[in-house]
Order: sequence, then structure tokens, then C-alpha cells
Amino acid sequence: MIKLTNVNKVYGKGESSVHALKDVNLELPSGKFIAIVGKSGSGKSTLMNIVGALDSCTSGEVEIDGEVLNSKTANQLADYRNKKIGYIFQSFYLEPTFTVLENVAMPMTIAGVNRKVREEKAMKAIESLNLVDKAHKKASELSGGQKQRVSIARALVFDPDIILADEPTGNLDSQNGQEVIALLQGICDSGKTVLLVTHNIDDARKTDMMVEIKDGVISNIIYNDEETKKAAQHLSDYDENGDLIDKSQDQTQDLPQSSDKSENIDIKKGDGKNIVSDNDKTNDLLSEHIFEKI
Amino acid sequence: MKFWDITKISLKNMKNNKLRTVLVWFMLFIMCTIILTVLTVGIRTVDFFNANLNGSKMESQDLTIECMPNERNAIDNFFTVPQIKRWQDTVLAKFPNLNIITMHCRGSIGNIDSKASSVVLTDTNYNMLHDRQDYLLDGRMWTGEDKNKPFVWVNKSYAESYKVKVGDIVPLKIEDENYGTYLYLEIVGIVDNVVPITDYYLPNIICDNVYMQNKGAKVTEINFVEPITGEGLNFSSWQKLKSFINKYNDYDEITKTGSIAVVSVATVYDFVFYIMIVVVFIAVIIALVVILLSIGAVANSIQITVEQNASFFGMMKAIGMRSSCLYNIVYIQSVLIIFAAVACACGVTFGILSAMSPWVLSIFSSIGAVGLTINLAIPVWLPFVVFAVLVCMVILWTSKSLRAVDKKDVISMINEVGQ
Repeated sequence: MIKLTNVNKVYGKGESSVHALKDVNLELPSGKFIAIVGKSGSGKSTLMNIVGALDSCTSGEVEIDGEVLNSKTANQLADYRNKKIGYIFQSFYLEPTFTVLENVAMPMTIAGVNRKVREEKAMKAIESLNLVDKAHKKASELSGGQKQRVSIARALVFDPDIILADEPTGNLDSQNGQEVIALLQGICDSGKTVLLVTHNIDDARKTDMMVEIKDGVISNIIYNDEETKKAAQHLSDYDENGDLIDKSQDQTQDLPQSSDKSENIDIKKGDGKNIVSDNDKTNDLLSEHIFEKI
Repeated sequence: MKFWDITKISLKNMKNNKLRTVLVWFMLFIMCTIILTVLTVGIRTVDFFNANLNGSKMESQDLTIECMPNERNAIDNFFTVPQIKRWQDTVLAKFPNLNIITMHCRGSIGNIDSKASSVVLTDTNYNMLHDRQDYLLDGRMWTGEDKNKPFVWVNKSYAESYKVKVGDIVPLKIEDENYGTYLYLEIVGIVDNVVPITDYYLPNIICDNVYMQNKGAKVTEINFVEPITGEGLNFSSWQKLKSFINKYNDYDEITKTGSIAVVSVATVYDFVFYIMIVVVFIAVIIALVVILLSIGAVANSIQITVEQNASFFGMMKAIGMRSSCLYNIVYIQSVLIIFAAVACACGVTFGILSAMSPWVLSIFSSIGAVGLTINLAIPVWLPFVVFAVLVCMVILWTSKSLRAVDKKDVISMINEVGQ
């Protein structure tokens, strides 16, 4: 369970400060594929970074599976990132001079795992992503899609509970992007929590739920059922301004009803701007959101 | 994280930044070479002076002090002790069948002893000496045949003091400006201790003025020959030498009243001390300047390295690396570069100093200090000290630079990409 209580994040000081997150209260269930969507600068990446302990919140509390991140020391947070979290970045952040095997094994190298053991595990992760023939190639020799798969393998190698993916398809072509989303879905199916930050509403609708952030506030929660996930194939991306757009009014007819998964989700009210969603309201809210963009 | 894994990442980092790594190495190499060369020359120069003033044993000092003006001993010790072997070889070649006295010490002294017991005799003196056969203890007295011959007569107390006997060869320094010109005289007779002969005393040492004149000695002044045995004076430190000078502080007065200008120990001491101060001062200044430049260069390089690697550090932290490991990566990187630079600098410095040695020795020869050697080997501890200083400096600066980066959130570090 990922739980954020009254989380605020302010960048800078004084007049030039930016309030990236405003009293965010959110509980996300374990084992789900969750998308965080929103405009550029809305705070979605900030939210994910705070969950992943890549960034600290200015105030509030972040709790992951009962552990409060705020109270952890720098080394404890490092261990948390090492073992509990797997990161997938848009720019991959692989070490170009290291081989695929070395890159994938890096989290275990950092943890001081024996070389033989870590290479065995890394190789398994590489095998699962069909990169065996690239295992001893340098990361710089791979294509974008291959790099992202290596990045996914690295995120998975230590068998973390939570996978955080920040625009993982951003640098990929459509086909590779679809593959990555499918991989993430597969990871989620194996029981891990996958948190996906994306601009792509099609990708977001393939997840179990979407959390929309607007101006640092959770503005909407949408639960995707299987039909919605299918319909997502036809939804368009956000426009160039980062706004959600709806290419087809007809698709709204297929908008999901409240999902049975939503019973696991509890969205708490923040500063009054956040939306409280329950099973009865889900469909209305989703419709409202989609139509207001038309 | 294991040490080898950290080292491997450091090596990869260096490989990724080949140009910067090579430039930093080259810069450090040049600076280390300068530091090692300058400090080695400075240190070895000080060693050289100390070694050449420390060559003798203390027990010989008392004997020497009783017998001759001691200040001059120090001067002679400084300039001539290393030449003794050369003299011995020369004399042995010239007189292979002679029993050469122990020539561990200097050749002669000037007439600064108020007793003035050593003179070069005129013909009249020689004749008088010839007439006093009753004072002859060993060998033979002077005859007309001995004119212009390298012979010398010494009195009993002198012979006993210096353990010389008939047939021994003693060196005589000619009082000219060319310090280090010596004649070799054979002892042909030993006479009784100083006794009154008419209105003067029989000198301690008697030799032929014609012979000396022919050899360039200034016989219009009083020349003296005073070979000694033993191993000369021992000055274990400058302080001892200074106190020694103070003990004989009346020496300056004697010099002023004497007819022969003599270089005093005080002037030699001051001269040597001045040279040392200048050499050490220059060495220290150069070393400081180079060290300051090194600090600036290395600090700048570290700063750039850390800033350019901020994204990489951020990525590593994102996947769980602790800050201490990041520090270690940069430390190891720096230490490896410094080690390579110091090691290469040692080799090049060795070459430079080896090339300098013959040149330095030729300078010694040109000032008459034949036989002196200077050890220009790099002191073993010096490269380690230079290495340690550079490493400490790098660690301090790396810590400072990394702290500035490390205090940022991980995501901020990652986003340093391209900056």
C-alpha cells in the first residue's frame, strides 16, 4: 500500500517558489497497474519521485507498506530504493560503457551481492526480456527499445515490490512503446505494484486505474475495466499542450462503469480540491472529465 | 558495495572521460616532477653540506685543538677531507716504497698561531740547523745537497703528536688563491723539541724555501707545513660548529693582525649557511607555487568531474547506491590518477637528476673541490609525502564538491543531464 498524507512539495523559496503538490492525500493499493496522468508541470513526476524516494516532500507523510519514508535516514532510503523500488526512466539511464549484464546487475552490485549470484539473476532477468543475445554487448550499442527493456530488467532484477516508470515510452516508437506497456502489465500481473507516469492516455487506459493530477492536486481518479483497456487502443494522446483530448465522442459510450477493482481504492480528500471518489461516483467523474475536454 | 566493484566503476568513469583523465594526469605528472626535482635538489644540497662537515670523529678533536688553530681545521675539513684519497693515491704512485703517514686530514695551516713555531728557513737558518747535529733524533740534518728538494724536518713533539717518522710524506699547502694546491714533502729528519738557538727557536717544521718558491709559494710571507693525523674534527650539527666558533672567538683578532688573509670558519659557516638558506628558500618557493597550482588544477578538475557526473551519480543513487560509495568512486579515481602521475614523475625525476649529477660534479671540480660527490637520489620518503599530500588535498576537495551535489535530491542529480 502506498499512502500519501497531506503531502506538499514546494520548489524554490519566496515569490519564485512553485507549489508542485498541494495537500495530496492518496492511497494506492498494492499489486495494481496505476497510471499517473496530467499536464506537464502538473506534479505527476514529482508525486512519483516522492513515492520512490528520489525526492523529498516539503511536508506531509509518505508511507510505503507501513514504513514511513520521512523518518528514514539517507542510507535507509538508499536501501529502500535499492531493494524495494525498481525504476524505469524515459532516458533509460544505463551506463553506456557497461555491458547489458553489468547494467542489469547494477542494483545487486550496489547491494554487495556476490558476482556469481548477481550475474545468474541478471541473466534470468535478461532472458525474461529476450535480450540474451545482447547480454554481453555494451548498453551504448543497443536500440532505444532494447535499452528500455534493459532498464526494465534492471528494475526487476532485485525483485522489488514497486516498479516506478516515468514516461517509459517517451523515447520509443509506437511499437516499442506498446511492448514496454505490455511488459509493465506483465510485471503487474506477477503481483507487483506498477506506477506509470505518462502523457499517453492510451497507455494510461491500459492500467487498472488512472490518477489525474492538475496543478498539484489530485483532480480525478479513473478505474479502468477490461473494456476501457480495450477502448484505450483508440484514444488519442494528450495534445501538444499536455491536455487530455478525446478524439472520438463515440468512445465515450464505452467508458467504463465503476470497476470492481475500485473497492481497493480509497481516495481521500485533500484541501477540498481533490476529488473523493467512490464506486458510485466513478463513472460520472470519468464522463465529466472526458467531456469537459471536448 | 564491494571495493573492487567501486574500483571498476571508477575505472569505467576514467575510460569514459579519457581526455580529461589524461589531461589531469599530465598536469599532475608535470607538477609532481617539478616538486620532486626541486625538493630533491634542496634536500640533497643540505645533506651534502652536513655530510661534508660531519666527516670526523669527536675524539680527534681534542688532539687537533691542542695542536693547531682549530678554525682552519674546519675549513680544511670541509674542503679537503674528500680529497685525501686522491692525495694518497698520488703520493703512493710517486713514492711506492715509502711509508706514508696516515693522511686522513688536511694539509697545512696559516700562521695564526701566536707561538709562530713553524717557519721556512733561509739558507742561514738551514746552515744553523746543519750545525746543530746534537739536536738530531732521527734521520739526518740538512746539508747543502738538500737545497731545492721536497724535504722537511719536524721536531720531536710534533712527530709524536702526529705519529710521523722519517720517510713519511706530508702534504704542504701552498698559500695561493688556488685552494687545493699541495706539495708533498718527505720527512728526512726529526729534531729535538723547541730549543733556543741563539736568538730564535727551532721551528716545528722546517722546509726548503727555494723549493717552495719554485713551486709558487709566497715565501716572502711565512709558510707552514703542519700535517696531522687522526680523522679531523667532527661537527655533528651547525649548532656545534657555531659553539666551536664562539669558543675560539679571539680568532678574528688574530686574523686581523696577521699578515696572511685567512678565511675564517665564521665566514665559511655564514657562506654555507647563506647558500643553504637561498637554496632551501628557492626550493620551498617553487614547491609552494607548484603545489598551489596543483591544488587549483586538481580542484578545478574534480569540480568539473563531479558536476559532469552528477547525473550518473544520481542514477546510481536512484538504484540504491549510498553517498559513501559515490565518494569512494571519485576518491579511487583521483587516487589512481595521482598514483600514476607520481610514479611517472619519479621515473622522470630520476632521469633529470642523473643527468644533472655530472654537471654538479664538474662545478665542484672547477672550484677545487675534487672528489666531492653529491647524492642526487630522490629521498625514498619524498614521493610518498607528495602522494599523501595530493591525496589529502583531493579528498578534501572531492568531499567539498560532492557534498554540494549530494545534498540535492536524487531526482535533481539525475536531471543534471547535459548541464
